[in-house]
Amino acid sequence: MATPATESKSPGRLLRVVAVAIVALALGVWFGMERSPRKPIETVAATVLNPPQPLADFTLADHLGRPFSKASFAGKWTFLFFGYTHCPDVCPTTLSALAQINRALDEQAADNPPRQVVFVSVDPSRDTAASLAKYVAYFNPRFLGVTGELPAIETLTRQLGILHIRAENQDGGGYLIDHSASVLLVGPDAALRAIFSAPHTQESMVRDFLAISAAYS
Amino acid sequence: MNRHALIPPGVLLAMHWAFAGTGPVSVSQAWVRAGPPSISVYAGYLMLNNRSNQTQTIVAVSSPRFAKVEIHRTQIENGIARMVKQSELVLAPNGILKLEPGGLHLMLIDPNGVLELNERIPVQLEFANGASMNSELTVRAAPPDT
Repeated sequence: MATPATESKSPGRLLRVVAVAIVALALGVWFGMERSPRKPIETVAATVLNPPQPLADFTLADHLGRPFSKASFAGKWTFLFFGYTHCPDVCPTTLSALAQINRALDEQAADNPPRQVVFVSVDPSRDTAASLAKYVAYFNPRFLGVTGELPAIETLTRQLGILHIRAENQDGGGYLIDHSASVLLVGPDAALRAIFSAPHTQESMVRDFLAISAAYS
Repeated sequence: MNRHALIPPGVLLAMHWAFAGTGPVSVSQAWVRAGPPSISVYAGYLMLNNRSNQTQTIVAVSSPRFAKVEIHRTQIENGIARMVKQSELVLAPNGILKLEPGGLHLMLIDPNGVLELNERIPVQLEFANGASMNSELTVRAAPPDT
């Protein structure tokens, strides 16, 4: 009597073991997916960082004199660009493109995630808060200009791989600065999520931003 | 002695091509990106069309609205934008050369007074052969439609 009972139990035990294993595997896969994007995000212009790169803290100030630090990224997506107000070609071209992209996103669905555009000066000796205020507002009154002491700026640029080198001296005392032309996308968790290399075209950047922000949860 | 006195006035006139299109080079899509009134440096863009069978070389550009005009090229290498001053613009025979955002451009330095939107900025292009031509760049917020 005992033997048939044992025999009938055996397949059941095996089934339970298999079931537990399947559940464990499924949970493992599910948690694994939670940590990284479910599938690669398809983009046309952006290079997506996987995993995203969390930023270390830094202390700068915006053009209204308010602190601008790692905490300033919280809860919104940030298009981040580095330049200087004496920059004739690349900076106005990029800020105009960002203004267009911003407008296009505003005109799309109202449930677009909150965004900000931040222009960080790499020329603090000439770019005061007052000059940055006039400069960024020209492209969009909501854009933020950010500056600070050079070492503080470099706390941010170094970790983001942004280069800036004072170059050619102009006749009359002016100078130009070689600098990264990329626009960076920082997520609401203050982690670098994507890099848009120049040239910056509205259509592809809008599309990529929506794809990247949609994949974030 | 004024060496210009040796050149008959008719010849001088002929050497100064009007922008109406009598010379070998024509200019189109010429504009300056408008900017905040506080800035001292602007970029000018234009398309140069060499309608002649000879190479045409622009060696200098000037404007009465700016203290100085330089020719530059933005080069982006490994993500770094670098401005490289150019000594001349070489227009191939029957060729087109575009000065456009992110590439070749005129660097317009120290305006005398604020640039107004839609203002026409006179510029003079000087050629290696001694000829010159006048043109205009329109102050615009965005590139002209092509």
